Amino acid sequence: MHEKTLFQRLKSPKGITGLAILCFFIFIAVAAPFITSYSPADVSSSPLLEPGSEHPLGTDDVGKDIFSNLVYGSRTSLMVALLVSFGVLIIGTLAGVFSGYTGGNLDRVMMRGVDIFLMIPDLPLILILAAYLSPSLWNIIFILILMGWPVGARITRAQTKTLRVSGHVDFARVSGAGNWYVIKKHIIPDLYPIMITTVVMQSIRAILSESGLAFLGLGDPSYPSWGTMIKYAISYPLVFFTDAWMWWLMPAGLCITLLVLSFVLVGQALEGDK
Amino acid sequence: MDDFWLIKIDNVSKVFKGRGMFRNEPEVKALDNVSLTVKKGEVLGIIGESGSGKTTLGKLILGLLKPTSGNISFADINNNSTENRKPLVQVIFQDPYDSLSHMMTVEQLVAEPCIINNGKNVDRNRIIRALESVGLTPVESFLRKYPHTLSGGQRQRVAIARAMISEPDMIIADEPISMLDASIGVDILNLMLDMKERTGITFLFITHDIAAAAYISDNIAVMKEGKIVEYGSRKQIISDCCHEYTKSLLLSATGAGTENEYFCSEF
Repeated sequence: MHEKTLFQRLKSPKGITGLAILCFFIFIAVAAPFITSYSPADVSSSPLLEPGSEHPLGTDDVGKDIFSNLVYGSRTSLMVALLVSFGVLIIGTLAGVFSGYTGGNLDRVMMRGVDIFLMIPDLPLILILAAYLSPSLWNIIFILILMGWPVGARITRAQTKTLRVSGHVDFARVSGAGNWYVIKKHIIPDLYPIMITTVVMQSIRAILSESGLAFLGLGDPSYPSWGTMIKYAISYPLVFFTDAWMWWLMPAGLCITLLVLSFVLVGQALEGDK
Repeated sequence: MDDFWLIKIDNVSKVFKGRGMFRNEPEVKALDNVSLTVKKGEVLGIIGESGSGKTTLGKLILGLLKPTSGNISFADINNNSTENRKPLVQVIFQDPYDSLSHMMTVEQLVAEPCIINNGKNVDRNRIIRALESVGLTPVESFLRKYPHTLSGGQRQRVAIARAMISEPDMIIADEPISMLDASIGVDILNLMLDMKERTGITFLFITHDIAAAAYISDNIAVMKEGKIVEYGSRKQIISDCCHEYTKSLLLSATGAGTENEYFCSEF
């Protein structure tokens, strides 16, 4: 299970589809200012316009361009996914390797702490914290990392514990290797597959949680978000009586679904599904 | 061969304590007052059934475990008569699938002991020579391979090359052939004998297979339940052993028939 096979696994139809969708969204997020000329917060257009040459997806009830909100929303989603997944990865891996490698009483104490974190139901706590702290994107990222790292730590620790007593680690020790060398050369490389899965799973969780919180009104109003778009579209009373849902509500939902789907496909491809 | 000792094991015991949260599990006495001397340049076979403590003994010598009581002393070696050093001990493990990291190429695996001791710069020729000496030729085709593309025998050869590259004074071979086919096992044994002839290295050969031990060893120690029940030269152990346990081991080996042809051909 070295890097070469991981790369080969991504070459399956699922992996290519997932990567293509993901790259599409990354491209949109990076090139946002060139794709649309409106700022997502610009309310100067007339409200509730139907799609036309000026506004490809029309405008919403306060006169914002829906298409530019959609484009800039991908930035928010991808940023949250990136920061949360890497935050969880780094903290979880460090804690897991440290706990599993040290062993003994320290390991026991740390794992009981992790157990407590794992017992707390995620969503209610996120809701409470998001409501209690000011609604800012950084707070959401912080909460998602806080609730996510114990999962990573647990898996990493289990793997570290089995690796610690394996033959190749014993051999390195006999040859005179120190702890740092063993961790760097024998434990971390063996954790790559787990790390990649962690990044994928945590990205999915982050995207869905961010959209969900934004939908509930606990998002950051200064960042355009697909969840916020759905929330405003649904709270507009006439959205289902006209055709407005087709260009106002549906694209945002579709984007969330597609982005999550891309991560799921990449994850499944990496796990070896064809 | 000179009769200098390399390692002296003196009344060593090892007890594994039971670790339960609420009740104490029974202690396991893996080694019970074992005394043994490894002479320089010999192949010392240690035989015994599983659970007799032979692997524990190996791990104690390697320093992977600490003895509960007793003392393991190493002889000082002075080659150039200027500085004394401790003998370098290397190991070949039983399971060639577990003992080679699957994230490293053969080249990296064999270079590892050098990298640990000398830092980054490893003489590539040394790796190539080590691989040639264990019969992995053409070497170039093996250097970039990962262990999961190799067979069990080839993996064990890589493990031997890796143990030999740091030019140790002693190698502990912990059941190196028990996971291999019989014919490949004989090849590995011959390779080890060949190594010994060429470099005068000391081997501690741990096995449960008395036929293999008889084939390769100069002296044999028989272990049972953490004790050494019999120690002697190969001839002594094979032809006139006194302990019941050794007799039963011998009987099972000869009774197995054609499978142990190298044993039968020796005697």
